[in-house]
Amino acid sequence: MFKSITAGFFVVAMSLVAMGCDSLSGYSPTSPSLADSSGNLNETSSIKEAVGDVAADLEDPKTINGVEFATVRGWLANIYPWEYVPEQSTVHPVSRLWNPRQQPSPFQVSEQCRQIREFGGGAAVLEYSPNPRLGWHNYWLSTGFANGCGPFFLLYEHINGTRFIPVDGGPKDMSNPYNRQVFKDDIDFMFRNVIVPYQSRYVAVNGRAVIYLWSSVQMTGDFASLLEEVKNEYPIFFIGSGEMWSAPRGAEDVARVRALDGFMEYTLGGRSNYLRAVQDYNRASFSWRGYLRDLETKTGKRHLFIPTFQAAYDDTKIIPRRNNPTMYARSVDEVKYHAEMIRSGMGSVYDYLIGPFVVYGELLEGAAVIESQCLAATMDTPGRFVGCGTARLQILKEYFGWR
Amino acid sequence: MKNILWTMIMLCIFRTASFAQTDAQPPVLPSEPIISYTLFVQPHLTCQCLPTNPTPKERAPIFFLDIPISPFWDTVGADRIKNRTIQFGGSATPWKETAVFGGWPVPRIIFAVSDFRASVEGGIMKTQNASLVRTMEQAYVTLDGAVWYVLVGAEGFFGQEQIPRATKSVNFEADFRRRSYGGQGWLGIKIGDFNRSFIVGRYGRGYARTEGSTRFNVPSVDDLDRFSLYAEEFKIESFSVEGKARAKRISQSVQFERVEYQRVIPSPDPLRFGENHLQDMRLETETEITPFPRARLLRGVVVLTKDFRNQNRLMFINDYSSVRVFLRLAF
Repeated sequence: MFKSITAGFFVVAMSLVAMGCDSLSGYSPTSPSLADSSGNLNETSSIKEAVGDVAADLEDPKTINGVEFATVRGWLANIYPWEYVPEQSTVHPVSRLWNPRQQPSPFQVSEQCRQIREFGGGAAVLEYSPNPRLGWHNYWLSTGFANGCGPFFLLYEHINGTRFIPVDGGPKDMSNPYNRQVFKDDIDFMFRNVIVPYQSRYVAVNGRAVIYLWSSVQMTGDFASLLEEVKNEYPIFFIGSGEMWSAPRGAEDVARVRALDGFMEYTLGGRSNYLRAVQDYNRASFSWRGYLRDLETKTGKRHLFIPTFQAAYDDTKIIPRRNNPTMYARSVDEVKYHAEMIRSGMGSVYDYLIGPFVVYGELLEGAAVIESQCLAATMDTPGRFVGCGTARLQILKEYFGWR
Repeated sequence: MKNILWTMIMLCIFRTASFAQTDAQPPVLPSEPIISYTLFVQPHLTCQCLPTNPTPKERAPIFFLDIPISPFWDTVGADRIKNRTIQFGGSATPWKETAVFGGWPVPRIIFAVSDFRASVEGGIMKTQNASLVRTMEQAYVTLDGAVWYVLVGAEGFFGQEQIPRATKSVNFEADFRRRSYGGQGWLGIKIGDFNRSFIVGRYGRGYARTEGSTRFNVPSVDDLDRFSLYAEEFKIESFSVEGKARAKRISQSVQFERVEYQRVIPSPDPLRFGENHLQDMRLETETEITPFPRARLLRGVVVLTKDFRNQNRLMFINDYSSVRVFLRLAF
């Protein structure tokens, strides 16, 4: 310990001499000034950050002393750094939580967190991309990484707006050496600049920090070996998605599923019949649990399986048009039935008392449970339950508000 | 092994004793000569004898209809249904519950000739005073055939139990149903006649599947699907020894059976999926009494069962309780 501290101070001293203090603000990506390099921090704070970073560089933690997933009680709220565009949204949050054409302000994120906790949320899932062009890292920094939400982990946006090839949408060939390097760089960035500095609030499984890949099924090629490489270097717990709808058949798919550490769907999909969708999801979950059990028998590895709650699906306002059918429950009882099935499966089909995952603030696809305005288009009508206001949150609180 | 030997010895002793008491009529020899029998039985052979009936009454096929009188059945406890752990078997928490069933009885039909016997039982019953209303439908078929001393047999079963409103969650109740089926075949040896007195030893292998499902009752939503709660398959391996001695007004049988259940898809974690290997071991005695010599049609049967394990067969179907009484009609 003493040796490490001594070495740390020595390296800091040498760095200061070699680089000069002005260059340090650009070195630390934990600083909101990273993107702009405005240099408006004073010299003292820069030195403090530099000391922290260098110390972090000297000793990469082998385990994350964060919040163990098994101790998180309540649903998992996915929150977003996106702008609210009314013309393309089918959920319209109240202005206290989100203003049109803006990202939620730090105060509004704090209010969102307060609401999440009030309605039984246990942890936040932060939509996150390390791609500096998006500026999401700095955005989350400005909110203290949603410090009002308590425990959190990252949803790594690995499909849209990435530095992978192709950049937007579509599967990524992870056998491609360039894509492999981008993935490693992204994980390294997230580990050093989010997970380690915020580890006291970061959600972990047995000391391994959770990173959620919302569509791991689109990471094609030899993704498995890459996951293993990264996990050998960093204590990361990868949760994938989109895998459970059919048993993997190809060798690369099987290997990817084995290399992932857990599964949690982002969406139940867009179907015209809500009841059909939730029942299909339940049936697929049962089959997937059987698959995971068999896998565990063969490999000895236990995979986590977390349920997903979805209130609706409506992306009809997104431009360009997607032509997906809208999906609303016919009554509030159908949504409660969905929650009831999830709850009764926790501990058998799904892992005990973790989740469900809930889209809290994605406004474009109509699933967001955030407190919303009751407009003409979002009012309940006979045969169509939308759940404006806090109706969706009330259901979550009733079924999953364990705290 | 000691138990098996002990059982066989007791059967032989019992047989000897019961033959010694039946002096009213000469005991009838089994179809196949057996050394142990000829030692104790001396046929009456005198020169004045008329030609004997080649098929004495006792050697005729037997046909029994057993009507259960005792209403007690062993079944799995309500907690196991709510916890979704029926498929774990009896290896974890206590799981057996005795319920009083009524309604349609589960009769048993037995047909036996010297080298063949068949047993069929089944029916529909409903609990009368339990907290959960259980409707049980089950059927059980056993066939045994022997050529010389070699015994070949098979059994099959089907069971279904439905429990409306078995669980209550936050807003809605849910019905529960479990269904099981299976069977096994065996090879063994037989000494004696099935319709008289006999000893058999059997080794069998088979398969059983059980699945539980639920359906929520949501008042405003129709046509909800039924969802699987569990589905388990087991390989079965069994060993049993059975003996029966029959006299004029009483017959006694003893059966010792050991059954091993092995999960087809192994469980990686006993706490989450149950033990991979489960076992049943039981001793069953059946005493048949003919109280009215002039009305041999009516008989009483008392069956006592002692389980030495956790009665894991309850995973599949409900079982009689440890004491059961039948009214037997012998044709």
